[in-house]
Amino acid sequence: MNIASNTPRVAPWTAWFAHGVIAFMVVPTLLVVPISFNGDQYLSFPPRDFSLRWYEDFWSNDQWLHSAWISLVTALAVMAIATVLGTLAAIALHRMTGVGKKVLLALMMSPLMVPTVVLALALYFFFARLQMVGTWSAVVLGQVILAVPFAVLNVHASLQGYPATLERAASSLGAGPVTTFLRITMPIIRPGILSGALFAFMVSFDEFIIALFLAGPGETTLPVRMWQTMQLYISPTIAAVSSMITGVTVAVFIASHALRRRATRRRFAERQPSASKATKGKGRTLVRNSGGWPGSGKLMSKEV
Amino acid sequence: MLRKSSWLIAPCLAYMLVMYVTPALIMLYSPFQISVESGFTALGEALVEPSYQRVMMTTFRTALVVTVLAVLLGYPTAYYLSRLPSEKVGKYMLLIMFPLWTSLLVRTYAWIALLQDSGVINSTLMSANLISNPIRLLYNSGSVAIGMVQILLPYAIITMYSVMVGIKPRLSQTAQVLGASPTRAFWHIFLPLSLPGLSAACLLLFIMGLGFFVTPALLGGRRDMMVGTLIQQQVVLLGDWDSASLLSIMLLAATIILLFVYSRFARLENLVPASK
Repeated sequence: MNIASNTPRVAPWTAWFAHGVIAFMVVPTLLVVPISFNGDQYLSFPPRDFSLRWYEDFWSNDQWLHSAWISLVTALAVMAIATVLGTLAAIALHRMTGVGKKVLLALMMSPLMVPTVVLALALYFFFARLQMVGTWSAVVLGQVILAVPFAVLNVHASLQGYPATLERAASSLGAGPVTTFLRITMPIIRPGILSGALFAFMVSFDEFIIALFLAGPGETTLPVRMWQTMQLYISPTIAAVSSMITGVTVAVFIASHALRRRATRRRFAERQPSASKATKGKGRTLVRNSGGWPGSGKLMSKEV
Repeated sequence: MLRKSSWLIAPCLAYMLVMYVTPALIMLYSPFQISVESGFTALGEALVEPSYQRVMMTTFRTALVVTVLAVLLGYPTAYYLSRLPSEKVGKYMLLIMFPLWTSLLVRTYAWIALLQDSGVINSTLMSANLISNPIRLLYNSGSVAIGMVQILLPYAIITMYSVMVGIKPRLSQTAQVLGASPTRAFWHIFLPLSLPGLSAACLLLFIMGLGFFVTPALLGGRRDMMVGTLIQQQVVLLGDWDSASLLSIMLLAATIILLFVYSRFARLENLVPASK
């Protein structure tokens, strides 16, 4: 055994096992893509003849297109609200200490632990009193709760190791609070805000349970329409929809990864000494190893 | 300026109080609306109602089974990743993060496409003449478990990895230099040090498992109904708000009790590795 090496040997079966498990996590979902190009009515595999008929089915169906539009608009609205609320909260939390901070952080994060069905039911009762069940605003207002934790986490993480002296320097040189925020704080936390916004967007775009409880027939989001269709029969059109959603997801995923890489590079380039120290101190954070901001790993909404 | 920035939390806090805490209180209060006694009577009746008990039993059993399976699959995977040099971990982490980004309904649909009678597995086996009639793979507790384990695995791996990566390889190496076999070094050094991650993963997965809704509803049969589906049916199909809120209170109580027990012997922060 090579003691000098810092990387120990692991039993070969562990490597095979790990690769198998990761394949189990990723491959079945990707199989939807070849299935969607199948000309057959049945979901046969390997596909018998190549066809785009299920894509045509989607693009020529007003209901599907309307749902896609609703999902997009909803996700943008949720993203806007959650990003503003989460960013402000994260800045405030960063400067707090003690019990107050713990309680507030726990409150902001708790939607991730509460079963989403319970949250959806509570919102249903609440909006029923306001006669808002079945409205688009109810869906947006509800989904924001699930998106806020991600906005807070991402911005909070990007504030870690952010030297307070920078702000004091700015104000001692005569900058007002607004100038300090826009010229000093904002550029530093911008990558955190952007990735928080992407998370918020994806949370809402995938969100299903709150939308199922609160959306009216005119506001059926894409996941709800998929659910309704799947209740009736397993249409291959869903394979086409799924492939397109997965395509969009991969694009957003790559964008957020590129964002993180750029943020990391810039952070290291601009503030080499403090950045490397901060990284060393956080041996247990996961994201150091995936090349990005701590906390930018998406702990997706626990909606299952 | 950030020194005096505590007020910046006000909009978010106000939002959470109005849109999140208030609805939760309304729901918790609704069984007790008429009187406190009648509320507790209703809750007691719901607890002994046989049809609810059956669903609750299914829910707890399913959550337990998928937790055990996901931890058994996830532990060696997280171990392998934590022993890799850090520059190699990145691409694996991307693959592990990818499912978290993928739409839940898409992933569930993929399992239906794979497992149904005319699906990928059956049609492949039949065209290879290995079977003459499709095997029934879908709409049973097995397909629910497969779907749930696949969804839970990223959480299991990330939670355990974030603890394991802090365990210095040198500790196991030292044990081996001193004469322990690799197996003994693992059981006596690595495993005990990884227990915080293991227990956090178990709790997180079990709590998540209790609240599953989409997967059991779409991949399971009638007998695999879990409490989430029951709640939705009571409200949306039957309009029975009272039962729905009683079931939600039970589900929420189970979650809170588990979190409380866990917080007695470990830090709740372990549950959200990204927040560290």
